[in-house]
Amino acid sequence: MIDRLRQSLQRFLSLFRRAGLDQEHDAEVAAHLDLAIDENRKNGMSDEEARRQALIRLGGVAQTKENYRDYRSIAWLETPFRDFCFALRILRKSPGFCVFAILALALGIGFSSIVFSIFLRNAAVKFAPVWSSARWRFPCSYWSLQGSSFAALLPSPTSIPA
Amino acid sequence: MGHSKLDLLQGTLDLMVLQTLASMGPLHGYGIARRIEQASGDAILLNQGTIYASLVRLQQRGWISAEWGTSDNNRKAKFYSITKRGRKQLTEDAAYWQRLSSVMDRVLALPGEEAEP
Repeated sequence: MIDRLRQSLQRFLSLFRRAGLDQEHDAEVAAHLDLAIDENRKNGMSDEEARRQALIRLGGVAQTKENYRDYRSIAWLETPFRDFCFALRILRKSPGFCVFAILALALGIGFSSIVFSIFLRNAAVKFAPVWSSARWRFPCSYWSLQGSSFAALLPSPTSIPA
Repeated sequence: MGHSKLDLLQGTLDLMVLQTLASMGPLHGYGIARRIEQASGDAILLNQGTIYASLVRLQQRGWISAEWGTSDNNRKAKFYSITKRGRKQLTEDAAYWQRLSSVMDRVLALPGEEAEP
């Protein structure tokens, strides 16, 4: 159980050290091929045949690397993570655009929240059963008449009966 | 050859790697693959590349450790060795496989229908 947890943690952490780990594995596969070729040559194969047999026994360089990566990290997390890093890199390359995009998003979200909070407040005044009961002295039409001003939207203290 | 090579069952390769490291001492990936092929009398179908998936799994679980070294013929290679926790796991897994295979032996030894009187 602990070992499985440790494995999951290691797989997650490997997302942050991809380049180094990939490089190390590349070197390892290259060493594997060299060792296999050495042995095949010793058994009397020509250079070309030794290399060919080594590759066949390995099962392909690309397949080996892909298989290794699948087990080393979390495949379904790796692609989105890579996209995220790519996006960050691109944004860092053009800081002007980045600032503009962040400002546009911030202002957009800010204005939307303001407008919606006002709309919801207004709607609550109109539709909330308690507020539309007889105890609420200001009719809804008052709000629609005064709706253009923010101040008018706030219930004045006199509107609530003692 | 009348018989095709055996496909490896899930989890068997990890156990073979642990056993190989426990009995042979530190080895590189190619060495492990060759020892397993030799021990099996070339009866199993092993893409040597799949060894590396097994090695990374075992390493992440802390059952083996790795460091770069130099091989007999002066090639730089990554050498793996079994850890204390790996030996403990090997004992457990080997006992499990022995139990399973003895059960399979007994079940498969049941007489066939035509042998019944």
